[in-house]
Amino acid sequence: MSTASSNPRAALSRTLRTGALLLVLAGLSYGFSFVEFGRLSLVIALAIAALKALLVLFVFMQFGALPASARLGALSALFMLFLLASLMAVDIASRTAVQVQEPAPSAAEAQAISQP
Amino acid sequence: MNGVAHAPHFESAERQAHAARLGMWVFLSSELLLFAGLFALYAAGRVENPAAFRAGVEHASKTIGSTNTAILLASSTSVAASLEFLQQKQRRACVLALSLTMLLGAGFLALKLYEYAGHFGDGIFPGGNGSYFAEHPIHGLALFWTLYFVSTGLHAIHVTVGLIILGLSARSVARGSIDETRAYVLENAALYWHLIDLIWIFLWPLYYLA
Repeated sequence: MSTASSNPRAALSRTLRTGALLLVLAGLSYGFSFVEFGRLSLVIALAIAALKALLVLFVFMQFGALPASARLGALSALFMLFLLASLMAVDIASRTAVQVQEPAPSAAEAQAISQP
Repeated sequence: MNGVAHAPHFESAERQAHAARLGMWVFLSSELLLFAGLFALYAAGRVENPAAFRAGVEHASKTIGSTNTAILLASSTSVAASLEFLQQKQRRACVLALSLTMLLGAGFLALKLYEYAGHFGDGIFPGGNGSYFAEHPIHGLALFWTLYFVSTGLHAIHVTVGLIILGLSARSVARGSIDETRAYVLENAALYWHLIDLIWIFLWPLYYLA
């Protein structure tokens, strides 16, 4: 994750600035949640969440500085995630409403129903 | 890292650190996939029951959820700072930053328990049990709240485990068994905490905001 920085103060400052930026983005999400954007509300909230996640991933977790093997391990999980999301989307998109019909009663059942 | 003690089955301390990092990232990937299943269920449920999920989000406590978001983001910052301190050989500052992280994590859990108590008081229980669901007969509402309890509950368990890991790490730093030459041990603990933060970053908008 973290590599020894040539300028320790700069590294600490970058960490604190990133933390502040994350809080600002969280405040933005909170503020937007009071504005009615319709269907876009969720899209906007998730877009800001993705931005925050990228900041955590690349600044705090230093994903970019990882050795190739570790990056490959993480990227394979993202690929699995992509498969999960895409197959689920295909499932939802291809669903059709099915009307279930009650089977007609047999002659004996119909007779039993008609009798008082 | 040459000359630094390492396990006998590793060629060098560098190899040991590399193996530890690789193992941690593979573990984090499996954790990501665990939560991915819950996110997928949420997406499918929301597409099928948009009104119920909207009603669920409106009932969730936005104030508590948002406060907890700020708490976790601050804790992620402090754990990252603790690592910087360790690499600068400032062990005391490192332990202080870790203590702050644990304090914030404990605050998160306390607020979560308070929030759960509120839901139970409102008659909302997992599985669609409770008076709330009889009063609000909306199809899909039980699914929303069940997913809410499972997702946030599983996340809270991870926070608890993270607190234990950070506590053990802080003790090791204080005793000197983790120092700048073995910073990868604290790095892995911090990575776990960041993952907890990453998951909450997405749980928050889905269950509290939109």
